[in-house]
Amino acid sequence: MKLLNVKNLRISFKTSKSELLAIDGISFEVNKGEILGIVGETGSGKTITSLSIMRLLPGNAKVSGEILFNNKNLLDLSEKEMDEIRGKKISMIFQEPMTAFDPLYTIGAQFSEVLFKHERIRKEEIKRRSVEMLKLVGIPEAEKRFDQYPHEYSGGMIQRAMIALALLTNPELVIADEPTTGLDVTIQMQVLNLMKRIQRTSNLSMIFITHDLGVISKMADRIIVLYLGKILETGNVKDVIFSPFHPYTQGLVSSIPTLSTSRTGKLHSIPGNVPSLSEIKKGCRFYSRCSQRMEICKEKSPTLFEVSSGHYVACWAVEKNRNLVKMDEQ
Amino acid sequence: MKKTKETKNVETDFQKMVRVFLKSPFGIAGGIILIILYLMTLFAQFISPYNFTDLHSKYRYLPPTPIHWIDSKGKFHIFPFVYGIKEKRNPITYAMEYVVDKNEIYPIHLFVHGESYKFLNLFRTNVHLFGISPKAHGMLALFGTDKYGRDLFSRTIVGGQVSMTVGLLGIAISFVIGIIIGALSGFIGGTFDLIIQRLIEVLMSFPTLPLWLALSMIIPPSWPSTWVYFGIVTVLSLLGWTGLARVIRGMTLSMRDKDFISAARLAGQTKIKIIIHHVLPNIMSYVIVVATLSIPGMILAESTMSFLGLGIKEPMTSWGLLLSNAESLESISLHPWFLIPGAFIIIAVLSFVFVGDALRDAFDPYQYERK
Amino acid sequence: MNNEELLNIKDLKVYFPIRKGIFLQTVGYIKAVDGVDLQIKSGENLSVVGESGSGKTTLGKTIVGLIKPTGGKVAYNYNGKSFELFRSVPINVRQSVQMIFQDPFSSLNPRLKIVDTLKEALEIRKMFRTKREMIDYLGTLLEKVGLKREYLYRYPHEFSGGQRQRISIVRAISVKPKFIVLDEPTSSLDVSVQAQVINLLKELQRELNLTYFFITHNVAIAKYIGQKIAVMYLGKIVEINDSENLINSPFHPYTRLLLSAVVEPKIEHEKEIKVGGEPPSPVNVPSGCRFHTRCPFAMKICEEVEPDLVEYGGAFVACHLYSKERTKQIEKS
Ligand SMILES: Nc1ncnc2c1ncn2[C@@H]1O[C@H](COP(=O)(O)OP(=O)(O)OP(=O)(O)O)[C@@H](O)[C@H]1O
Ligand SMILES: Nc1ncnc2c1ncn2[C@@H]1O[C@H](COP(=O)(O)OP(=O)(O)OP(=O)(O)O)[C@@H](O)[C@H]1O
Ligand SMILES: [Mg+2]
Ligand SMILES: [Mg+2]
Repeated sequence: MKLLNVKNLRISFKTSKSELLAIDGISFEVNKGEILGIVGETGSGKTITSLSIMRLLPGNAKVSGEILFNNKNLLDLSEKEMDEIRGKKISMIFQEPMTAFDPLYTIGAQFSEVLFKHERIRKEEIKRRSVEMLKLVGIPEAEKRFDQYPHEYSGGMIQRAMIALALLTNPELVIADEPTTGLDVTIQMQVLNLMKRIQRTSNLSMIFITHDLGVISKMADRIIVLYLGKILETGNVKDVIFSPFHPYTQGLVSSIPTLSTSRTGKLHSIPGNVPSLSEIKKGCRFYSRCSQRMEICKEKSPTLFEVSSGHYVACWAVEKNRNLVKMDEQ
Repeated sequence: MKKTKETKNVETDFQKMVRVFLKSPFGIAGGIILIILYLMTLFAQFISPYNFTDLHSKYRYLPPTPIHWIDSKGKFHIFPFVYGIKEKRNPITYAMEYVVDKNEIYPIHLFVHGESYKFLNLFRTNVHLFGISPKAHGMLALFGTDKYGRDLFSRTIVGGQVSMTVGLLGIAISFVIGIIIGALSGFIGGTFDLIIQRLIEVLMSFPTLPLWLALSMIIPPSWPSTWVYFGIVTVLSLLGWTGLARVIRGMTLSMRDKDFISAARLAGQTKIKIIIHHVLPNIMSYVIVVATLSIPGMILAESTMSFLGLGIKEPMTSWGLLLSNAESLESISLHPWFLIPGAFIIIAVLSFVFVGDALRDAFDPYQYERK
Repeated sequence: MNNEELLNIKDLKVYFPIRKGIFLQTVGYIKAVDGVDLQIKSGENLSVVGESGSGKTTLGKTIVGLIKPTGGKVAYNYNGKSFELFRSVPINVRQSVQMIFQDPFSSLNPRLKIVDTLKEALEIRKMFRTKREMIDYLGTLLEKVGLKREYLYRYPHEFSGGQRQRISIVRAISVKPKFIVLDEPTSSLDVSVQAQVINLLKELQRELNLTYFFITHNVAIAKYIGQKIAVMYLGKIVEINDSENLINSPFHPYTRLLLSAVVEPKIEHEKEIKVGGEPPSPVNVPSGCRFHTRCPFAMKICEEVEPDLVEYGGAFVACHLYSKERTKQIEKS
């Protein structure tokens, strides 16, 4: 069942010089009880995609398309109706937990505020639920910690508290934007395990954003590969990471050194830098760095087509090879 | 072709600062007022209709003279004019009072010949920007006169020369002391830093007023007025560098651990050159803001000292000294125009604060980071 | 390659005082580096891995002489003579050791054009007679790292993180160093750019005969760059071994924990790896073995006696599991 269905989402920013098209018509869906992973490098638009679902984009952003949540278009809702959904039905986990918590209030006060706003329950009940949630995410001495300030929490603990806060109102969808970037590997492992466990036990739907292919292969069921506001490839995690079709995904996967990478060989790398949005021309957005570019790529932007069941790729070269194969078969 | 496009896109730091600064209406207003005030002080003697030291014993405690276009007969004059003034003894209080003589009309002219003075200290002239005939039976006293009959408008304008420059000069000296001590203290650190910091704290913990008083006592009363002026500037900057030095030390400390400083050290660069090439250029913008924001303090300090009779002395003048005319309630109620120089102090101080605030926004580091 | 000893680090300690109160009395110490012994041979890259706060950066900065050691000694050998780099040393010795920093945004002076940043070290050394020669040399180096000559006349804010990191690399290699400390040079870069920079670093190392001290918390990159890997925990080295061996047969429980926490693109992820606890603060270092608070094999002795780094199965390990004789000795007494 589709919980979230995003159709032809476009996000552009007005700047002093021009209008930048940061998300260029992407569509995706999140099913009940599923983790959808979004991977992409800096500037690919991961954060603004999630902010657009929460309707939290800054004033200079223009959004079009549809964001259907339980078949209701979030973009049509009034600010008041959106308030009912934001933080209650859809919640978010940020990369920087310190910016999500106000340093002047105790963790408990901030939990209470959220619970009170959405559920209007009594004080004792609020505390009981908050402490229970803190315990669930593995914070020791949760009762004591409830009355502490954010700075009294360690890095790993504050990240857990952030997760607890996001889960407090039993949301249907949780959006996690790079929740473990910057954490130590051992703590990252703890947090990932925790998120996965909670997601499984409560059959939560989740959008998990990261630039780390290792993390995404551990967490996600399906993934989207985003590059400069376009989906280049999407499908089951295994298909996309272990038999990628798009030259970008292929490059990305093979450029990561792993423990088994030989010390003597050269690492595979994608040439060039990610261009900035203002440098983008028509045609495929990966054109400038692509190893398999053709004439058509410069002119026309490719659209997603299915290479195997549920596995979509947007690449002219892949499409051409496919057609050749098909013709051969005929 | 591509290159030109790229260079066009990149706005220099300076352009960015100007753009942000111009967004602040208060900053612009403050800036314009300051420019006007400084132009005014530069051409003070020319602008003022009378010499600021000339006594007009016939017109003591004269209230501001109103300016008219239409005379008592309802006739319109192209040049604005003032009425003549006659002295009369009040039959009840026996006090001398001024009555307006509506029969005498003195038009205000531009570039009139009046009392002679030295223009910009270069040559002697007697041309004033505006005024009435020196032979008139009356005065053009826009802000009234004091107990010696000196024109307070002229005195205020000339007083600005002291008040508006004392802050600038004072800050310039504090700036140099503050940068040297602050940067060294921050960069060298250790015991040197500890001693300097304690010294600054001791200096800062003294109440400033008694300290000014004590220091200004050292200035011998026999000194000529220009010496006194520089004496005051010295006193102000000797006490004013501490705040700046602290700020600079703090910023130097935060710069010291920056990686590009470490890289310079690994290149074998000397400490002094690191401070000059790497630390100071990067903190200069903040220092300028802090300096701008400390000028008002200096202006107020000079005013306070002069008000208390410990600063600028007659016959020189400054806003603080002029304000001392209004030292008692009685004096204020009888001669409310004595408060006008106070308004100038307030306007100048506020303008500096506005400009400083706008500069701070313009230099805001976060605006830099965000492309 | 030539196997002369480049660096000899003996019982190195770097403590940062914690000051409080009006007189800024020292109330305690952050023991960032707390007794490190290490030898580095010329041409043999050493990678250092460890969690945040384990003292990697502090160790690196102390080695190049940016931080004065609190205790112990870092001896740097240059043409047969031994130097301590935090003291004042001849300019050619000073410049033969360079460092590349983690944050590409703070490693270049934002007010200086690239050329002014790059020429600083060359001018101190007086390496060139004319400005032309110098500019030419710098331009060639920029091209070598995949940038353009024209970039010399631009400001740092016109470059991406990856490009800035290349400029930092040029600054470091321009003085023809022997030894470079690299502090997580790729951790802030995008995946696709990271591989380029790592390839470049490896190429330069071979071509210019450099020795790297490579700090990272990515074990895979540590292995790719370093012949050897040292694992740091709370200011101490707990295990050193050839990188292949360290990864294939880790000894120290912390090394094992670190390796098990590495997430790589894999089809089957182990269900749930038990990874307990967080590192304690370096202000209150646990007694005995500093890892015992998180160690699944902690014994009684671990709380009391700090284990030494001893040779075991080709590796150097600081763990009581591998110092049987010592254990026996202590139990007897
Ligand atoms: N308020 C804004 N005004 C103009 N452009 C913006 C704004 N916010 C984001 N952008 C641009 O939109 C693009 C996508 O940004 P976004 O933050 O979503 O990237 P991301 O994929 O989350 O990257 P990262 O990995 O760095 O977090 C970027 O090019 C960014 O510069
Ligand atoms: N200049 C300093 N003053 C005080 N404490 C410091 C200073 N530099 C580092 N520390 C402390 O020393 C400890 C070790 O820091 P260090 O930066 O060396 O760790 P690291 O291993 O490089 O960590 P990371 O992976 O986060 O870079 C930390 O607890 C840190 O807070
Ligand atoms: Mg983001
Ligand atoms: Mg570090």
